[in-house]
Amino acid sequence: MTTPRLSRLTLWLLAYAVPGRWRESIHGDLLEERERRHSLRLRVDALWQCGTVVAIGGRLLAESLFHRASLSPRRRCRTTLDQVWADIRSAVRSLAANPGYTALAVFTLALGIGANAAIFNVANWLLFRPTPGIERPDELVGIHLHQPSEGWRNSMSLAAIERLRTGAQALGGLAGTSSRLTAADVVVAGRQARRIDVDVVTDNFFDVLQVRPLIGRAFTIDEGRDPAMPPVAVISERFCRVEFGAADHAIGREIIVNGKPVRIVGVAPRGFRGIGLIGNIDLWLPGAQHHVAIPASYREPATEATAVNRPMFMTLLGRFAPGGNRDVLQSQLDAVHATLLAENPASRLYSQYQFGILPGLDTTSSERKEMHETLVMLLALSAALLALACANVGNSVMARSTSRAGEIATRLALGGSRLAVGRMLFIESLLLSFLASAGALALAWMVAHFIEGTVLVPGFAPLDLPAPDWRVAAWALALATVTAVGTGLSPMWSVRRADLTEALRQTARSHSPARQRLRTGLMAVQVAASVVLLVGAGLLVRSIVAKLSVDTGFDASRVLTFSVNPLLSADRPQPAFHQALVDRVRQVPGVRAASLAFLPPFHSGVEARLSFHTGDRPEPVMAARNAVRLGFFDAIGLAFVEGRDFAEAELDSPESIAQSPLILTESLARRVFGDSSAVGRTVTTAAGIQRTVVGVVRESRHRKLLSDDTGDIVFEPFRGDFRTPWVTVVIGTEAPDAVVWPGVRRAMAEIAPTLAMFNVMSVEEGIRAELGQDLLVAQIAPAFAGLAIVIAVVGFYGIVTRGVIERRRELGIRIALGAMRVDLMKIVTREVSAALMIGLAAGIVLSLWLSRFIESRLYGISRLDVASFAAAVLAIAIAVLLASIPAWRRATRLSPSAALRD
Amino acid sequence: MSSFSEKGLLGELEQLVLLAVIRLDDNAYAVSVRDEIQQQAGIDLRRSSVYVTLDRLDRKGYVTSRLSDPTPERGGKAKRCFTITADGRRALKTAADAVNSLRQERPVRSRV
Repeated sequence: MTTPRLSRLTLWLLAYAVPGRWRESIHGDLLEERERRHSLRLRVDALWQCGTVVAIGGRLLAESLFHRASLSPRRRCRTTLDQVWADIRSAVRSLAANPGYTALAVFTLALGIGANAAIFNVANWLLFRPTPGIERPDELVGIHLHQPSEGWRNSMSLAAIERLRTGAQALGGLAGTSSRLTAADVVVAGRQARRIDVDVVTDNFFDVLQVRPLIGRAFTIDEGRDPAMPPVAVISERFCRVEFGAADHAIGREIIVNGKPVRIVGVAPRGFRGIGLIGNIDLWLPGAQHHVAIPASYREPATEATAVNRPMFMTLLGRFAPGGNRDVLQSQLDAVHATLLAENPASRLYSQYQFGILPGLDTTSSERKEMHETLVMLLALSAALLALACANVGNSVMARSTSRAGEIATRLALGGSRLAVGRMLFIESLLLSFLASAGALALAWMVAHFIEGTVLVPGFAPLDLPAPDWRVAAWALALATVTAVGTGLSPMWSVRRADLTEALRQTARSHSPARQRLRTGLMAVQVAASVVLLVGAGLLVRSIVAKLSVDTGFDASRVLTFSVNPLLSADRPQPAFHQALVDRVRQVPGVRAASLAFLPPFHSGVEARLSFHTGDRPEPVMAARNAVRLGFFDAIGLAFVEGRDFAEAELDSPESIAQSPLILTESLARRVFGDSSAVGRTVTTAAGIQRTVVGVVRESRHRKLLSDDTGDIVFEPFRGDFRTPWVTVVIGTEAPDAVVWPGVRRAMAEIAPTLAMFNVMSVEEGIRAELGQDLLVAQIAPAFAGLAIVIAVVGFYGIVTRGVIERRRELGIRIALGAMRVDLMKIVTREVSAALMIGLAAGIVLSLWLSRFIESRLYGISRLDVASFAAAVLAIAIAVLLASIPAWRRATRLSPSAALRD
Repeated sequence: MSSFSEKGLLGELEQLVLLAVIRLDDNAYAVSVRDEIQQQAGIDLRRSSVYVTLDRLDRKGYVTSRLSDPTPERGGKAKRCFTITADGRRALKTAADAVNSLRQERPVRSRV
């Protein structure tokens, strides 16, 4: 007879859902019953097993939780743990008895904690989680060239990498990955080309990182080192999903990368997008195939012999062998350095730089630093929201403990220590907070799904299913504990001061001065937190509005741009291709005008600058430069102040670019030539060449909002012999974008199906993309501010209404003695207005201080912007007044006889 | 509820299980107790009820338990066997007495 077994899930349930003293016997009982039922042909499958275990385990657990008090007195032992259990049970009962109150408190706290958890979830994805797919990342080290005065470099030749591989014995493996962002045009199955990020790596890259391909394999040694081997590639799981559907469809398929066929041999594990956390790499090529990623047409062709010695921009990653450490590694690196220097005595690189060791996975990129700032700001906003929620719930917990004064007094009178009663109240808060943190995690999960695929930073990977992990859960639980302290302290405080005899006589004055002060204080905290959130949101939104409404000098909504890499159509002469491209796009319906430029009109990514001076201005002037073809100014709608556009002859004249004429922006012309006309004047470039100004166009101020730039631009003619890895097609439209784009895409598919269109956007979208994180913050902040107002209104409504109910005897007496409506309103309002005043004052002071931290992000407004502060104060005052109206109505309609009878 | 059991009174379920434990002598464990109640009384109890009741009786001190030697047909797992205690017998008797005294004919009262 074979030994009977239970399903794995059943065993797991037995281990975790059944109390220890019962575990073994229930296991045996189940096996016994399983045999018997089996012979009776009754069901014994995993579902039956699990169901049985859950039923038994659940009831045993419930028994131990809720029915221990029913044990006979003889056996009852009151350990502290038992008392805590008793408190938990009583808290559960008490919360269950007031479902409305519980739901509102949990909901409010869940919003507060949930906002924090959702932001932290994104922060975790961007900053804290381990890079997906890489095993034991702490064993990895980076090897770089280092010079004390110049810092670190990562330019290594393949030959040097080979030396290091054999020389650095302390490492179990040494791999290289291209440290420069490289993009390539990829054609899959004859569809229009797409532009993706590509990485060139050594053959052992995946082995050293211990990244196991999801399917297929990594590179062989020959593929990594022999340029004659047929080109192969590993693709990312995301790329595979988008292009091929199932992973096994991709293996063995041929795709065209930058015009060359490449065979897919493997798919990287899900989430692995290169060594950076927010990398966007979709394709890895072995080192020997780097000419695929960076085609020779970009630069002078290299012969095979020099290829191994030419420096490539490689980041080297090593994994320590067992027993390897930094000291041993450093001495081995020094030995390799000595050999390399002896072999290449003329090399400046090796005579000036030494090998040094850095942490393996880079965690300090500037983009991440910038994200860090944004996330800290968002976390600060959500912390304010949580403070608000805490004050709100704290107030209602306290209000409830007031109405429970009788119960608490009875407990104290019967000998319950104040500590024990306080603990009971605290456990109630803790329970509320933990329930709320479960809701918060659900909220964070929903937000994660909602924002999946969003690109937070232009150029970086879209968020890829950032479902909350244990770090987020830990964060939510930690916040829940803080929240419990925040909401539980006030009722515990009131227990400390409870007056027994008063309370037992049921005449406890719930509006005793101390309690009233505490309540006013909590209301003031809510007002202050709301002010901070509203002021912050106001400043950020006004700043973004100011940025978006900057006069770009042209109608940004009527200009579309996209870029292509014309060098990949190497079979055609560049000037002919440029002309064909523009001519074909002009024929698309809805296109008013089209032209070519080197950079998009709003671009800030690649800097091209020109330095020059005039005869009367000896000091050089710096300005951004762009190269444009005929009709550029017409296409984007930038008017000429004086002078003219370039002439056809100037684009194709035999003189070099360095001698061609220039067009200036208005502000630049004024800066250089004052009020006199600029047309026909000459400027002298840094190289000493004279160039003539032929025109001045209206000022284009868009660049100012992106940096501290002056916004001055010098335009040069885009000449046919200008070799550049990208050109930008600029289209002026007279039809909606949705009509024009499909036509443009069809035109591109016709004229150049193997070229990818990238940076496809309207100028308006481009400006929004450049605003990126600021826009994101400006969208989230008002949502937080709205939540804050809602929470504050609900909280105030509860507090004020409860205040009237508690004081109805007093109010009744006053009415009976002839108090006027106005007097009643005054009484009810006194407490609220005190809280409002204190809260507003504190909130304004706090906002004045906090606004310093967002000052650097503000554009066009002062951090002390009166409108934002005034709007915040007004909004809160109105919200509080609205929340108080029901209480006023209740107070004025109070019937004195009914009030006194209670 | 608590006053009911604090006075040592037993619930119906507890009585059934205790009686089954007595009948089964030294082979009273969850499976056999349930079978016994089903065969003798024709009552089909939920498994979980049997476990919870045994657990409660144990913690009230009305039964004691020990682990039997493991047997191969149970995958080498021990049985948790129960024996009634003196307290348990007393409680059972109290419960039976309470029911019986209530069950007796109502005394005839003469009219005044």
